Parts: sequence; structure tokens; C-alpha cells
Amino acid sequence: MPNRMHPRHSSIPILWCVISFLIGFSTTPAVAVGQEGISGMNPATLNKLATDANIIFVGTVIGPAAASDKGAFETKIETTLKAPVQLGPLNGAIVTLIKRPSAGLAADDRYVFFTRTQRLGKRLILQEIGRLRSDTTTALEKRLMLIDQRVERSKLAERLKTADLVITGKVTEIERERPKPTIPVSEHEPQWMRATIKVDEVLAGSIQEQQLVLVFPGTMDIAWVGAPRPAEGQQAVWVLTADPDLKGYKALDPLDVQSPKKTDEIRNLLRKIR
Amino acid sequence: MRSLPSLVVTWVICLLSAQMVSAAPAPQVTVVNMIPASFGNETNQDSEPNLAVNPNNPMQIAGSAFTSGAGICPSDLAPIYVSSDEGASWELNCIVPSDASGMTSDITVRFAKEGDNLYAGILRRPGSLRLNILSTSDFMGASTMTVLEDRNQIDQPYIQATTVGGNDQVFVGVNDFAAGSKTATVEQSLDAAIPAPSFTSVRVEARATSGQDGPPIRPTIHPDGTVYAMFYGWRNFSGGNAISDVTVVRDDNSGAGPTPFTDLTDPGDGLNGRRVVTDITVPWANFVQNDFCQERFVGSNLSIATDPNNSDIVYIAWAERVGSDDYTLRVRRSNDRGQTWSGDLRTITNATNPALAINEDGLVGFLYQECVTTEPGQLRNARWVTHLEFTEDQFSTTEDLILANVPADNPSPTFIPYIGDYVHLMTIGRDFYGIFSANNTPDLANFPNGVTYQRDADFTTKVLFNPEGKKVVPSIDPFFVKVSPPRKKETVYKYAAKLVCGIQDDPADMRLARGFYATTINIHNPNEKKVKFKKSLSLTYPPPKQRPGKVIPIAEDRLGPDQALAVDCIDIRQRLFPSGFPRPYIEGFVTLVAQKSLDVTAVYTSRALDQRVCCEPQGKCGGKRKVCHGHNKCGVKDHSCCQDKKHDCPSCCYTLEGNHSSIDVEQIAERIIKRIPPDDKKPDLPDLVPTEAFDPPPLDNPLHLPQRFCLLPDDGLLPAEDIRVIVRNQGDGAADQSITEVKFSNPIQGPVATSSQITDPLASGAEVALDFTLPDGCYIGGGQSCKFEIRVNAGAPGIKETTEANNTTSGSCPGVVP
Repeated sequence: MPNRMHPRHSSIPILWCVISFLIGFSTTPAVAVGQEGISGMNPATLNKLATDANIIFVGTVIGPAAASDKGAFETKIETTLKAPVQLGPLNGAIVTLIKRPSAGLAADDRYVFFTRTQRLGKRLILQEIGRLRSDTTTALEKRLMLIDQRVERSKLAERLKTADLVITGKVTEIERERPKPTIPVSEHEPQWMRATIKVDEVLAGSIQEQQLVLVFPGTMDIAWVGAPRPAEGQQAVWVLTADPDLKGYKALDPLDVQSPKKTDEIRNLLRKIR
Repeated sequence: MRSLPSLVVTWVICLLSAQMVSAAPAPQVTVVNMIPASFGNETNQDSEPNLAVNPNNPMQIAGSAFTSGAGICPSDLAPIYVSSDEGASWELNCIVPSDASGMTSDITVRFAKEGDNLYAGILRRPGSLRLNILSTSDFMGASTMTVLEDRNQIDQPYIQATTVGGNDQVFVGVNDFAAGSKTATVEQSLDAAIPAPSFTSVRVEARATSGQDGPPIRPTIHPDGTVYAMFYGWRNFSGGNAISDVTVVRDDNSGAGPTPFTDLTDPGDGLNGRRVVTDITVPWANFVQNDFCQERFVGSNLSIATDPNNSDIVYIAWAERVGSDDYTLRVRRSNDRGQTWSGDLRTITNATNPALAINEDGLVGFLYQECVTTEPGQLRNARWVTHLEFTEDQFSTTEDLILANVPADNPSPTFIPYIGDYVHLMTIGRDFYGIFSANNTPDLANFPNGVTYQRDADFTTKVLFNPEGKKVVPSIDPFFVKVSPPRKKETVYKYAAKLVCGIQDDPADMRLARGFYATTINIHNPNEKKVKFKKSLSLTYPPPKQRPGKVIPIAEDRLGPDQALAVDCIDIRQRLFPSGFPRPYIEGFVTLVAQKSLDVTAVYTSRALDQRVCCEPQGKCGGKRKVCHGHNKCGVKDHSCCQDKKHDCPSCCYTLEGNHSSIDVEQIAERIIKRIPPDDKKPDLPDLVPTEAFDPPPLDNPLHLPQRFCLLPDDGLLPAEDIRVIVRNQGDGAADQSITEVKFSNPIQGPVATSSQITDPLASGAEVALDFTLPDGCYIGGGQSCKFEIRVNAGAPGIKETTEANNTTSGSCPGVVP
């Protein structure tokens, strides 16, 4: 006889998913879920929660954070499942957790909390967007890892989809001279510089020549923080966008330059999406 | 006879006393590192900061910088800094739309004057020149700021906001590359708080350009509806230099009407916009300049401020290259709404990021950052020195507060600008609020006016720590500054002119001879400006018997240049004694109080009264029958009066004609009184601050005791067992009993213990020493120091203070290396 789930556990998440998709998930950070275990949660909902939350932890509620705010609770992080490295280790930290309006919470409650940073001050103030029973930690950790990998792959796939050319190749030469600024000019001017890449293999798109010109920002300006800058001798998978005006290709997203070790993974991904 | 040494000591004491008496009250300075404690791992280059203080509630402050929210913020959001306690503590609030970088490019923020709306002008990612104008009605809340305008080809949005008639008005200076060659633009909405407000692009450049104007267009708003804007009008661009005019435009009606910002024309060419200087050289070198403390030159350094009491008065500052390799700031002033300008009031060589602001007392603040090199042109040992100068006399004299003096050769830039293309300074009432970015090494020597860190900082070892207790490398952080200058002493001119009005008819009155007296006080304004003055009457008679009389205000008058008016007995009787003088005559002083010197002259006239003389038969005079009492001459008689017998004149009398009169003109002496005007808005409040009891240790012996807060134990051995906190009340008002709290911690275990003591009431200027014993376990192995955070007025609720931003400080006592 197949396992039967209590309707309270089985139908509510599905209903929530439907409603949430109807009202538009992408603009609504709060994803209300029941207080079930991982197995009781719709995978799509879990994916959404895991992607939207930037801090996921197992924590125990200490008590209300302030008498004036019944929705805020001092909560101790016991195990961090997902957190930005910039905050350092959070295990043991006391945070202020703002619970979902519809959910109940009391001292000594222990859950896996899916949260989004609201404010960082003397302590973190986190907005709950969902929770799971705390006995699901081990299974959840594996799921989160898989979700992270899937998200990363998805982001890369988006870049690959729109790329004009994907190659493996090596930077053989970089222009050294900074271009002289001309009108119109701003402090955010990219100061385009040029590098030559010797093409080893074309993974997507087409190019006749054995080498191509990569155009990249020569400026250190804030507007171009994060844009990859090639180094002479650098071997990589290059996800390129043609720029006829600049007579070259650009790779401005950090995902546009991948390690050569990922060549096979990218080749497989390209097969699926192009 | 006193010995020579004792005389010397006396002399020195006298000198010191004189010095103390004449010393001006010090401004209250608060400097706070804005990185929150929970972001202690932070090593971003948080440059190019901006600040907004809510005029409606100065406890609410927002700040911005190139601070990345990647990871720490939910995806596609960037943070701003927020404070709800007037800058004493800061949080990051992720409410600015962004992309995966969690950053913006340029960002400036400003509150409207009423209603708590915060506006921001940003260059949004992705995209390099994508303007977003944003707003929120709850800057501490979680909702992402609303996009009011979104368009491309815009550079360096610099926002200002106010509220007029209930409507939020927003002016954003932008360099608009969609405008053709005249790119200087003010993007304005005169009703920005409504849903989907419209913005209008006002082109403020009237002259031919090099193809564009410079990046910065800086507006400033006066409460009377005057809006100024300032920009570099580029006339030629060579790639390395922009040959520029510094141009000021003005609108007298809050940007309303068909042709905004056209109220100021240049007398030279008759075109819109007054050119303050022409053909200056502004260097353009958009890469790291090692000989300029790792900053770049992109001609973005302008500032403009108007006097909140008088929109005619406007100050500007700009940067240019005067010689061959300098970067020089220049400050000028206009007294006539930008029509004419002073010469240079202040020049600073090799400095950047000028920011001007003027407070309600007319005190001018000038924030800037100076690159100081020890070896010309070399980065090594170079320092960024952040100054905040104050002047009340157009920079003839200045008070210079060094807010930070930090290494400029470390860290290396991860992008440019290194510290920023701008900072910000503004005023609310008397207080100045500013923000700047600087190296965050926790070294008190780098912050001569003190500093508070929220992140874990050990000022003894000069090291930052993350929440794990691991060292964090120095980086560029934003610093908030609040300066409360002492109330400006104003010069008051006072005149006291004697006044006698009326008839004294009693021959036996010995206060004043019998007669008729009149006084007229003439007042002339010799100044070039209108002068207001107050008149009052200080009576000496009545009352009699040497009791002080009433002081009765007469009126407040104004005189234009060279105008004059008179105060006379008739005027005083009509205004103050409409039923007539309380006595037949009055005496006293008319006092005048003015902000400017006046010519005051009194004219006194008197005439003797006709006198009725009683005649008494006291003997014969020249064969006549009677000699008149009170009349020493014979032969002048009025026999007719003798027909008029009166009860007080038992024989007869006659009238002696009062033919004596006089006139006297006196210049009334001027007294100069320096005084602090009353602050009608705020009661005198205390301001408690924790201060160190001892000097810092010598550089060659960091373990020396006593030091700062740490006491030397009775056994004279390390480590310290107690700390001493001096709680000082530096406010104008007395402080009630309060609580002082010390939280002890060590770098490994974190919090160890908290201790608190009752602090007795403190009169203004008083202080008290409190000793706290270091708890067990505060020192741990490895020579780690015992750290503590001290908070005065730590009770809940605490006592009311002028500022709570300076209630907290931190320190540590060195441990002993085993």
C-alpha cells in the first residue's frame, strides 16, 4: 500500500506553488511553505526557496526580539547551510529573525530557516521566507548543493545561449597602450583595449580565422568591476559576444571566461541548449 | 617678598588662566566608521560616499558608497547605509536595485524636507551610464526602492531634494550625453512623491562646448525657492586636459516656469549662466595616479552651498590645475546671488573632494581631502588627510579639524576612484553632517578628533578582527562625521541714551530742576545693508526711592542704508503711555540693540517754567513795602498777582516768566557685546561622553601602564586589573543620574561579562571617574588583550542628550605574553 500523506502536508505546498506562480514568483520574495520535512515539499518550491534565500540555517528561537515587534525573534544559528563568505562563519551567532506574517513561532522552536538578509547591523536581521523541520538537515544539505550546482549551470547556460561564439583558446598578445580619451568621454569610459586569442577549438558558432580580437575594458573604473581582464598566456573557454563597432568580441560577464577544465561540461551543455 | 620662582609660577598661571578664559568652546566632533559589526569580514573598497540626513528627523540618516552587497544582500540588490540614531550606529539595508554584483556605480542620496521620503540618483548595473532615480518612503524598511526614472547615456547623477507646499521637489545634476554637445543638465521633478512622477531635463549650458561638459553638475536648494547649479563648461578637450569655465546658473522659483535656471546671466556675453572663471585647466587622467595618493583626475570636484538665512550668499569650490602637476581647490563667494564673485578665499594645493555647507548661524564648513606626500611625487608614505574647516569670516580665519590622517599607499586600489570622485557635507540647523572614505586602520593617531568603530577593532594593536577573531586586512571604509559647533557668538551693539520727558513743576523736587524737558534720540544707519534694532525703555523714574524701574520694549525697527529715525518723548508717550505719563515727567534710558553699528545722537531740550512767586512782607526794598521770597531782585513785581491770594501764598504772589531754555546734543556711546544668541529650538541638554583617564602608552612601550583606560595595579605588575572611565558632561545642560556600562570581551571567546555603574548627576562641564574591575577570563592565553566597549547613558530609557552618537567608545588593556 502506498504511503499516504496527510492532506495538510500534501496539498498546501502545491496550492502555494500554484498561487505563487500565478501572482508572479520572481517579484515576490516571500515563499510561504508549511513546516514539513524535505520530502513533503514540492521540489520546485524547494528550488525556489533555496535560490531566493541567501542565508539558510538550522536555528533555535530564543524569544521575541522586541516587545514592540511581535514578528521579530532572537534566534541562534546552530548550523549554517548557506551563507555568504563575506559574513564569516555564522554558527553560534544570534540573529534577529522576522517571521513570515502568517506563520507561528515561539521560543525554543527549532527549524531550518530559509531567509533573506534584511539589514546588517550590530547583528543580522533576516527575513524568513520559508522553513522546514530541523530533522531534514542532512538530506537538505545535499539538495542545496545540487540546487547550487543547477543554478550555476543555469546561469552559464543563459550566457551560452546568447553567445555569438564559444571557443577554447589562448591569449597570445595584449595591447599595452591605453587609448587616448576622446569626446564624448566620462569617468566610466571603458577605455577599450584589445587582446589576441589564438583559437584552439570552436565549441559554438563559427569563425574562419585562427585567431580573434577580444575587446575588454582597460579602465579600472567602478562601472567595470567584475568584467574579466585577459592575461597574456591565459588559456580558457571564452563565451564571446561580437561587437562589430569595436571590430572584435567581448566577454564582459564573469561567467564569460571559464577554466579549460570545464571544456567538456560546457560542450555537453551547449549540446543541450543550442 | 616673593621669590622669583613664585612670581614666574604666578605669571604662568595668569597666562594660562587668560588663555582658558579666551579659548573658544570646542566643537563637538563625532566620527564613526560605518561598517556594521556583523560585516566584520569586510574588505571592500567603499569609496565615493554620499550622505542624507532627514531634515524632518535628523536621527534618520542614509549613506551610500561603492559597497558591494554581493552575497550579503538578496540577489540583484545593493545596500545603502542606514542609521536611526543620528549616526551613532549603522546598518546596511539592501534596497537598491542592482544586478549580481550587488553594487551601483555612482550613487547619491537625499531626503525630502518633509515626509521622510528618501531619493537616490544612481548609475544602475548592468550598464555603465544607466540613470535610475529612486525613492522610498521607508528607508529602514525591506522594500526595494521604487524606480522613478530609468534612462541611458547619463553620467554622475548628484541629487538634491526638498519639499515645497507639500510637494517633494527633486533636482538631479546629470551629464546627459543624449543632449547633444551641451550636456550639463538638471533633471527635475517638482512633484516627485506622486506615483510615476515626471522628470524634465533642463539644459543649463548656454555656450558652445568641446562636444560635452564636464561630469559634475551640482545643484543646491535654498528654502526660499532659489536653486543654484554649478558645472564645468568644457570649451576644449585635449584628452589630457579640459579647458573649462566654472559656470553657475540660478532659478528663483523652484525650477518652475517655462525657462528654469535662466535667472542669472553673464555680464560678459549676456548668455545664461555666470562664468565665475574661464579657461581654467582641469586635468583628465582616468587611471591611478601614484603621485596623487592613488586617486584619479576626472574633473569631478565641484561643490556649491547657499546660506540658509540668505539665498543671496553662495559659496562655490572647484578643482583645477594651476601649475604643471598640481590639483588645486579654490573657494569663492558671491553676496549678490551669483552676479559678482570674490577672489579666491581659500586655495588648497593637491587636494580633492571639496564639499561646502553653511549652517543656520552662517558658519561655513569646508570638507576636503588632501594628498600629503613626504617624498615629492612618491606614493610611499603618502597620506590622505581629511579636513573639515570652519570659517565665519570668509576664510580670513579658519578652524581646521583633521578628521582623518591615514595611509594613502595601502591598500592598493581594486578599482577607481580610490577614495571617490566626491564626498558630501550638509547642515541641519547648527549641525554639520558629512561623510568621507579613508583607510580603516584602527589607529587613534589617524583620527585626531576621535573615532568609533562598530566592527571589531583593536586600537592597541591597530588591527581589525573578523567575528572569528582572525585579522582583517585594512581597506577603504566610509566614515560618518557630525560636528556641532558652539553657538556662534554674535557681535551686539548696544546704546543707552538718557531720556527725560515731561514737566517738573515742583520747586522743592531735588531730582530735577523745575522745568519742561524733552528728549529726541536720532538713529542713523551708516551701513551698506539694512539694519534691524530693538528699542526699549529702562525707567529710572518712576519709581522713586532708588528702586529699579521697569524695562519696557518699545519696538523693533529697521533702517535701510543711510536712513535715520528718531525716538522722542511723544513717540514714547503714544506707544507706551497712551493715557499719559505715570508721573508729570519720566526719566530713564532708551536702549538700542543692533547687530550693526549705528550713529546714535540724543538732543535734549529744556525750558524753565513760568514761576509763581509768593510775596511776603519781610521788609522793604528800595522803599517799597514788600520783598518777595524767592526773588532776589527788587523792583520786579507783579502786583496783580497779589490780587490772587491763595491758601499757600498767604500774602500775595506774582509770576516770574520762565524765559530760560537750553538745547544739548550728545553722541551716545557704543558698547560692543559678544554674546551667544539663545537657541529657541532646543533646551539646554547634557552630552555625556566616555573619555580616557590616562595618556596613550609611549610608542616604544605599548604595554606601559597606566594607559588610556587601563589602571596600573597596586602591585605595579601587568596586566591591568581595573579600568577607569571618565564620564564627562560636555553639554550645556545638567545631566541627571545615568548608567555607565562596560562590556568586556576577548578575541577568542567573545563576550565575557558586562558591568555597569550608576553615574551621579553631572553639571555642565563636570566629570566623574568610574573604576571597573576586569572580569575573570577577559585575559586569555597567548597574550591576548582584554577588550571592552564602554557606553555612557546606557540605561533604558536613558537621559535626554544633545547627541548620543558619542556615547560609546572602545578600548583594550594589553595582556601579558607568556
